[in-house]
Amino acid sequence: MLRKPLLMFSFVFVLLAAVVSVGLAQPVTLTVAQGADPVTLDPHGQNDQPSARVRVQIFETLVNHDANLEIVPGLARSWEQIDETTWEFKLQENVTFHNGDPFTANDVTYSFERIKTLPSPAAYLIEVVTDVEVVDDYTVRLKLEYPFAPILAHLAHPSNAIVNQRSVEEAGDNFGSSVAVGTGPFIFEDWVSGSHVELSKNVDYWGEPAKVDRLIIRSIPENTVRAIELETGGADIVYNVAPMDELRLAGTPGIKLDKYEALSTTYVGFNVQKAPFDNVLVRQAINYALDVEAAVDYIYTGQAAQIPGPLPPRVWGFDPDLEGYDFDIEKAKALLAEAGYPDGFKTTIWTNDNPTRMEVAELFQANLAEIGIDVDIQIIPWATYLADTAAGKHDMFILGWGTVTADADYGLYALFHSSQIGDPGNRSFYANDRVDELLDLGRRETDVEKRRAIYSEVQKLIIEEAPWAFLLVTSEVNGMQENIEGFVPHPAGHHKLASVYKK
Amino acid sequence: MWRYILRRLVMLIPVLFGISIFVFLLMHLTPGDPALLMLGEHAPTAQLEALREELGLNDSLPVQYWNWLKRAVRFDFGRSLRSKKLVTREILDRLPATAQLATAAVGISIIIGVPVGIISAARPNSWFDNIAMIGALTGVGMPAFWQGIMLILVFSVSLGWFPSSGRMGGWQYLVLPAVTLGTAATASVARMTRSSMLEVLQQDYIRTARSKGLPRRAVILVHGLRNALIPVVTMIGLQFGGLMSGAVLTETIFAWPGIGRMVVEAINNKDFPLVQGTIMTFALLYALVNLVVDVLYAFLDPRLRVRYE
Repeated sequence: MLRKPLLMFSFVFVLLAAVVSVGLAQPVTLTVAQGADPVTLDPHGQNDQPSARVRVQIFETLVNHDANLEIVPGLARSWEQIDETTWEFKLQENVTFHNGDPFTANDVTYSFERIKTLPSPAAYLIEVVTDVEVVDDYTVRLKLEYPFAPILAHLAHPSNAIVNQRSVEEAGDNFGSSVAVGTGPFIFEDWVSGSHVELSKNVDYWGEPAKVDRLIIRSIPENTVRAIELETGGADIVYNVAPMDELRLAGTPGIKLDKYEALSTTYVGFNVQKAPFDNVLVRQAINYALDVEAAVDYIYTGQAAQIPGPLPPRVWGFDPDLEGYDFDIEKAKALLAEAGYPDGFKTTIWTNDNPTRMEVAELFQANLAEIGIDVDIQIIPWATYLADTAAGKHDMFILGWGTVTADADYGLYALFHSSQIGDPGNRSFYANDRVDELLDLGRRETDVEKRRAIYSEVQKLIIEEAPWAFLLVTSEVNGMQENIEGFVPHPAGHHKLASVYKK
Repeated sequence: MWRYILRRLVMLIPVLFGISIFVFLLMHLTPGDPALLMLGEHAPTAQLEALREELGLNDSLPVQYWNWLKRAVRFDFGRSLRSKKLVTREILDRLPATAQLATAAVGISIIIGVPVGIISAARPNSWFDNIAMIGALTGVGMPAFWQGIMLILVFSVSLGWFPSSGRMGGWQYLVLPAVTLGTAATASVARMTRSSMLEVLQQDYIRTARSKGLPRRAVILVHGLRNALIPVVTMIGLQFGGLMSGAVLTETIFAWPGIGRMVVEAINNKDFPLVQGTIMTFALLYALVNLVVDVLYAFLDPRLRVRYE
């Protein structure tokens, strides 16, 4: 009589145990949604944000930026500047690629050579590196063409990730689409073109392993629908929540928002070689005439902040004591009269078909009408826009710049050095000997405090000379389910997801 | 019949050839440099030049076209400039999603549009007809992006019946985009069926059939419908062809990984091989759908069958 219930009991117990253990072993999937499909997963290929956001999970760089933009070890565990132009890196040992190959100094040499010979669109980042010398299996020396202080910040850029020679050569042109072998915390599994990329946890990861078993990165182009995916549970984290959706999601239970200031600025550039913008008083007048605060409040609806000069505040070298231009119509009128244009003039402002920039252009058109400047807005397709602003066919233009290395050199050199006029980035055609000199000094100076002083001076000079109307730095909003923990936004937008888990 | 089909297929060759030249010129003569787009705002001049050379953009246009054509005749459309993926691979990856969506949308338009059109024609100006035709006008006029978002708000957010976007497996993902895409098509089909049917019902042979004492239902469905279907089939064919080349708005709203979204991105990025390969595929599909429609005529109308012999 006793037997039967016992049997029953043990049966139920076993069943229960099975259910519990299955429940425990249930793989955890994290679904993230961004606005576009990656172009290629090859870190040395096309340099775009959606691709970088996937690649940083799979591939790694020698050094990294942490959340505060300090340089921390990556595949290199330590480094030392041996002389002015030589840097030695000690590499992590016991690191293997996802295909099982060990990571050694040869992979560093191969990767950097590949970046230079492809050439990778981001090859300019390590243009200064002339030679990579293998000292032993776990030591490399980088030879630089000239002393270059921000070299570590450049090496931290995801485009300088280390790839595996065998897998690159075996895959040929398919590297980056059907094959992507790195050393990172996630392993590439599948890419359904236009839909999503699927990654799995690298159980043999050398560092702190990923906290979820599967990572799915979806592409959902329509902003509102991407935000809705959060409400319907189709995504755990969504990137780039638009201002309108931010307002709605802010009141939705079960959803939290994470806002961070990015490294991207928006500015109005003048063609300083063309009258009347060759007159510094005109440029200053326009700086005073633009109501940037209105743009921040009503066009960016708070997803931006006004900045005094060319650099975003989080970039190394930004001087917090800088004084920019206030919104002051009277001062603007006076400067314009002093410049010899008491009745203003007629000019054009260019923008590409970015809706936000188009609204900014309209606001500024109204602002400038107040001081008698009659502005015609021209909306130009992106491809033509890049080519024609590089050729100097413009009067004024609206453009952005992301200081992806988070170092002042990157945020200033390409934009204001006279050697960079045109395609490389100086689209205001600005040339000033003192600015050139300071920018050259800044990239060579290795003493941190001296370097800071150099960039303070150059920022003040640029603000005074006003080759741009300085506008704003944008911030980005990510939305996530309330049970998501451990998300640390990277100011450049390519967030690493290994630390994320579900509560 | 077979000779007719063969002749039509042979005639496709000059058509495709012409389209390829047209698209090639359109892509290369509109401003914008793919190398500059790839390297972005920060492009050292030497590197730009190297990339242009690598992509073959420094060759003269006839040379570039010839290089493309030589490979295209073997169905090798090269690799995308940006992603380095094989163009044929990219097309084959994206086409099934588009085909599925287009088929579902056309399916909806036939299943709903044809019966609604018939009933409306059988009872012109009745309450059913009035409501149906107002509905059809609304359906044609409703913008896809608005309708899509509304469907998502109602059926995903409020009711939770269907997922809001993507194609992550399962038929549930297909429902909302197919309905969005199918709405306008359904409306057109209903209106076309109605007007074509009304015209046919005026014909003498319908009166004859009625006077023979055939039931009204048989007259409409057997004698009327078959004759009324020809323009409807033409329109469905054209619509299907159009939908196969991607429904960009619907695909964008629902993050549907179709070919329409892809080709628009490729055009914006001046990704010549990808655009060229995809447009050629569209042209071929469109031509084939038209051929199928023409062959269908023969089954619907014996008089036409004679002409094909």
